[in-house]
Amino acid sequence: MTQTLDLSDAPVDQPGARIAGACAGAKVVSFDVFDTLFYRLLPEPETVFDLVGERFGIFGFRDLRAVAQTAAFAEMHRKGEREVTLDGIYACLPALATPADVLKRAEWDFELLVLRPNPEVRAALETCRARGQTCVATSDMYLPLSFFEELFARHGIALDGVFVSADVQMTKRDDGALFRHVAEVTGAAPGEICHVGDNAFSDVQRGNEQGLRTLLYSPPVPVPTAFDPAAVGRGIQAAAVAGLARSQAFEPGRSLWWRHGFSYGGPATLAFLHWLREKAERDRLDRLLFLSRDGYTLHALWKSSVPAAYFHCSRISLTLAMIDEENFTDHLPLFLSGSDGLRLREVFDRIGVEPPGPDLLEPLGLDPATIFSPETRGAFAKAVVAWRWQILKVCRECRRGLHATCLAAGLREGDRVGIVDVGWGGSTQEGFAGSVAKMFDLDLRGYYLCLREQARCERPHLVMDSLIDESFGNTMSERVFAERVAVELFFSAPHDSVIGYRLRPDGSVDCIGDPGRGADPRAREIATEIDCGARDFVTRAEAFFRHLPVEPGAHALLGPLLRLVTAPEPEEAEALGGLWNFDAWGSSVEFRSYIARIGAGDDLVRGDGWPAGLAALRREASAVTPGNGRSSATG
Amino acid sequence: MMRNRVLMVSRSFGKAARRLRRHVKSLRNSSLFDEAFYRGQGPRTGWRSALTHFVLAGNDEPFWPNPLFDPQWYLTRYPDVRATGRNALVHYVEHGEAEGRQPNALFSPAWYAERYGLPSRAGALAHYLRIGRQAGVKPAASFNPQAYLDSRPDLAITLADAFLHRVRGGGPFVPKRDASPPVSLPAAEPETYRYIAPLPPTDLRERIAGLGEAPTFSVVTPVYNVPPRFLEAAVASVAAQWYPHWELVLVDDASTDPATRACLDRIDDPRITVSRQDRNGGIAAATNAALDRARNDYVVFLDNDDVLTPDCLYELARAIAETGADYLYSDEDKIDAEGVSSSPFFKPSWSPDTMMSIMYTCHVSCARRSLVAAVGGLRSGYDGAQDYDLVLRMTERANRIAHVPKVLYHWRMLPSSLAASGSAKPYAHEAVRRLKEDALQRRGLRGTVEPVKDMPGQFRVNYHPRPGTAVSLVIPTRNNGQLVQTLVASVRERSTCRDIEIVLIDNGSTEPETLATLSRLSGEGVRVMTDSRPFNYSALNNSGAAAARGDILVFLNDDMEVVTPDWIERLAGYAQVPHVGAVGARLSYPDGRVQHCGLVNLAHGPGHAFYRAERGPPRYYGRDTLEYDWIAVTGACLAIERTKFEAIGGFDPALPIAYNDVDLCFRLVEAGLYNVVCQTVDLVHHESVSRGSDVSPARLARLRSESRRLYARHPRFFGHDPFFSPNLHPNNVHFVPNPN
Repeated sequence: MTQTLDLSDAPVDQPGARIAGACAGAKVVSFDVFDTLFYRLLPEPETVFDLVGERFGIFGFRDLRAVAQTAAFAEMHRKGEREVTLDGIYACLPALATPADVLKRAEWDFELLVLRPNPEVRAALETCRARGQTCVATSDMYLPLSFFEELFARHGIALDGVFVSADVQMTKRDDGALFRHVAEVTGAAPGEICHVGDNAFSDVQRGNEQGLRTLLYSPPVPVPTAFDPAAVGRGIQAAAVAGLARSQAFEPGRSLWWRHGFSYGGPATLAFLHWLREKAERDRLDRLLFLSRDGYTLHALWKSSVPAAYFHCSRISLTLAMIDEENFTDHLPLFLSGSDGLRLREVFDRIGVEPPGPDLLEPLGLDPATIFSPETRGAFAKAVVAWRWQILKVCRECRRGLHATCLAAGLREGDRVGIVDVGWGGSTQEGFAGSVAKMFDLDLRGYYLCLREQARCERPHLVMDSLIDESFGNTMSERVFAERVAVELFFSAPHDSVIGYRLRPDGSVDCIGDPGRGADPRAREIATEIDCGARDFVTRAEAFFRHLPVEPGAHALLGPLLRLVTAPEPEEAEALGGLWNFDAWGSSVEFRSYIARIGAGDDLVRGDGWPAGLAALRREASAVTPGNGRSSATG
Repeated sequence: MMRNRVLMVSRSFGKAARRLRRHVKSLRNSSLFDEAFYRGQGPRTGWRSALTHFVLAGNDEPFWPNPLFDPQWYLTRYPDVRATGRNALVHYVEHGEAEGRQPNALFSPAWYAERYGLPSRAGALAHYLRIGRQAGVKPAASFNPQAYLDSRPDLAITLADAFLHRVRGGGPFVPKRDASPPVSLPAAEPETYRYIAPLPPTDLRERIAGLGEAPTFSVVTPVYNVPPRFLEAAVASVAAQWYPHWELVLVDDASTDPATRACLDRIDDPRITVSRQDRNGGIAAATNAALDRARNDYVVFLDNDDVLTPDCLYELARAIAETGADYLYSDEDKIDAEGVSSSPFFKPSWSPDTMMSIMYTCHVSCARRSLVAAVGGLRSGYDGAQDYDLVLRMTERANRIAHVPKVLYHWRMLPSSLAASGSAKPYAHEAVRRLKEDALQRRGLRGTVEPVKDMPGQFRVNYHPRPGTAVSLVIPTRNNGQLVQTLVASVRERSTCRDIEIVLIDNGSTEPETLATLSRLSGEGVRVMTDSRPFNYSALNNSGAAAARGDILVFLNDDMEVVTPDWIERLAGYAQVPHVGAVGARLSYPDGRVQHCGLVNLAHGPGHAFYRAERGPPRYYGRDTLEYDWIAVTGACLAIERTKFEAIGGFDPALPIAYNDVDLCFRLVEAGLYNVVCQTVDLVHHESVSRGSDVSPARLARLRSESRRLYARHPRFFGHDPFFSPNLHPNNVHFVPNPN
């Protein structure tokens, strides 16, 4: 009796367990190769042809290659054969400047380059072999057996047999003859064979027809639709990025946030790194400082002759460091900024200052739990001013710690220093210039992922450069700025926002972090996972892209993130938007400020931080509202 | 061949001449060359016009072409300009300003043009100098002229000059060859001090749990005839502690007041023990009785009419967890009968010489109970100063001493208490003298305990130098024959110490009078060395020290005049105390105003405490009267044992002009030594204070640079002075308490 197991909803306990478990008892386990035992680092197979064309400068090679394959099929039918071969295809290719053999070899090499063992299926294969089952690979493919042997050898995959349609001129798809051939060669009855493959027709239906047990393989998580070939388009650079970015779907046991870090944070990080390396060397920087927290992952991946350091600071710590008794009142707006809904105590907590007691508060009509509002703003301001000497002590400590931090980071008089931040208006650079420049004469430049349009007008005295520039379109920087909360999620760090410093007696510096108030308990883990995912992407991408005829540029690498933050799918908006109190500065135990959320208790929701996310959620909500055509029709 | 070369030179000279003419014209048209301003800085233009001289030499000289264009800053900031060799201002006028480059660290032509709607960045600086400055407009995003003047009431300048002052350094200038530039702010009208209790942290319990092995405290309080309301307040202040691990030990010293006894009887709290002495034995005996009953790790002393702040034990516990200190003290203030706070005492970190001068640790005082027991508790016979005696003895044994720079204790000021009047308990004065004499004896130090004339009840120590101590005065000089003559004469005529070697290091004097003076002094037993290298205060002093024969080196400026006869003995005596590094003297200007009585390391940099203050009653707990420890003393008169000087490597020649004395003192502190000023040693400093207005950009730039170098070497002292207090105004040399 045959059975078909759909693995799409099976739990993933350990790599390969769900597949190996389903194959238990079979004498022979047969694995489909493409999109099952292996996956490609490309969104569609035909991109390999584009790579060949790019390598040899042949315009439209994909189409030529497709026509040749069609012709090869015709020739196959004419000869009464059952499968086309690579030789047969290239024999049908029109004469080009590059000999067909060279092109064929290039295709072979690119296939080898882009194919990666599927970790889950590979684990299942190893489990099955370990328990004595005969394991074979079974593929409908025009590539010859020798290709498969080279592929498996390259990745150290041991099999008991390899059955390729082009080699034996039998296929799975036409009549299941290849399955019969497997049974014959292995000496197993069809019912003793379990075949695992991703194709519902050729792998499952034809297998069942031949009396095999079959498993329909699907990746542990769906491949994001944004990486579907149709969405990616036919550009090689975008395809290469999408191909690698989507590969996370084949990795079992990864968290949602690792996957986001891999697919979106990773490519953007790599783009930023490439750009920074070019700028740092061109601008002959003495030192590059990756400001916390945005620069955490970037710094960890930095490789350049320009020395770099991860610089613990924030707009708050830098600004506090520049505040003294002479300019205190100039900075009063900072102390009160983003305070709506915060308790009085929280307004002080977030700058690391012990709040004043009732002796100071009561005459102002305040208590520690008084909520900041337009009505209480004046009293809050008075409390801040009255308590300024305590605040100034914190500012001085901050300045001392910043000075020591600068020395530890290697800053020296006269250095040309670059600082790296995600964006947006240069306020952090302003704080850096205003605080650090009082301690060191520096030639300071800021390097940003994105600057809002007004940034340079508002701060013309700062030297600033941005990766996202006019080449991304006139409105892109403003669009990204509007969605900055979502972008910042991908450039964070698994530590609290640094709001100050404390110099220890031995000269070392303790950074004072602000954990925020009412913070999402997942925040640190999410930052860790996104960081890990991004690092994994960059590591793999650097190894992969250097073998391509053209390395993906900034547009291709930033594409996935820009798409996500400006036009998310509803499920993406729900996942990211569900984070709350992400920004420690404006956080309070009084409320949850979501990145994007609708429909929760209104008294707890203040989130409008991610307009595109909210729009996606609203679209989805309206689509499922009773009475709406879609919801009533689809149930 | 030769002819061709001549032609080439001629041609290139012609090009250069044309270029020079073009640049001169360019600057003339720009209105950015202010000839009067330029000439006022004293460039040697020779036969050339000032403008031509500037175009040719401006990149290499420290003179600014107008009050806001700093050529050296510009060339450093824009190395591409320096690489061209072009005159900085010419570049700025022809290209830089339009490109948004800045003429100095603060003025942004881009910001200015944008802010005031100028058609272009080019011309922004000229606009400001011509129009904006007079109108008092903001010249930079971060600079408000009015706020600047408000913050610097000492500056006699107009709104129009505020930015110029700021750009050109923003402060008074260093007096000649005094390596410690003063930061002079007049004594500001302080806002009224008022104690504000902090709020307990919301996570107090977690924080206490995070202290690890939380120390336990025994608050010990001897009671005698105290009005019940004060005793109740004292007890209530302990009961209100945030920190939970305490006991209160009350010992009634046989009070005769029934109200006091009744008040004690009413106490019903398991954390509080009340016991009674059979007979009145005095405060020391009663406190010892309380100590005998104490059971916890640390003892906290609380007088029966005083009050602990609610965070007192919590802050002590934090400090213990952080430092492992055996003895701790905090800041304190006074309260009146109604509990109104005033007179905060914001104290320095542990200062052993200050401790020998005044009971500055006072309240709150907290010691490991085992330490108190080890020294035998309080000694009778010192009532009124029994706590002072105890602290001196404990701190001789304590491994670590910590200061909590927060007011943790309110000392109730009543007519009958010592807090109200130092003369209220005259019997205590004699106790103070005796306890100090005891301390000298215990420590094996030779010295005399002397009453302090202006502070009745206080006594200072005059340490005696070891017999046979040789002293060398090291005095760099140049073309100051008259002053040197005055100095040497004052040393010889007024000093009681006769065995003094005088080493003069002549830094290339050229004036005949000076040379004649030096020649004459050389014949009179003064050692005159010649070192004509470019002025380097550190190197000169180091070479003088190397040549000198004394065990004690006294570095002196050449414009000093000795006043105190036993000045050498007093300086040398302190210098030989093992824990003492540098010893300074009290320096006055000829008009009697304070030039130096110790250096404070303020947020803006090192400055002279009470600079230019008139002679008057003691200031801030005797800070200008008693021997306190300081972060640094001026190199204008600095005594140090040769062994200590050599151990830390002497003055650092990398700091040739400014801050070399501060650097030396910082290194002494880093080496675990203490710098002290002998306030009884008076010298007159004939330094021209009018030089304070000499704010040349080059000197300010050099000062800024040397200040940065100083703090790069000593980052822990950046904006921090352990012998000052973070609760005093951070940029005022007059020890002005912050209002909360």
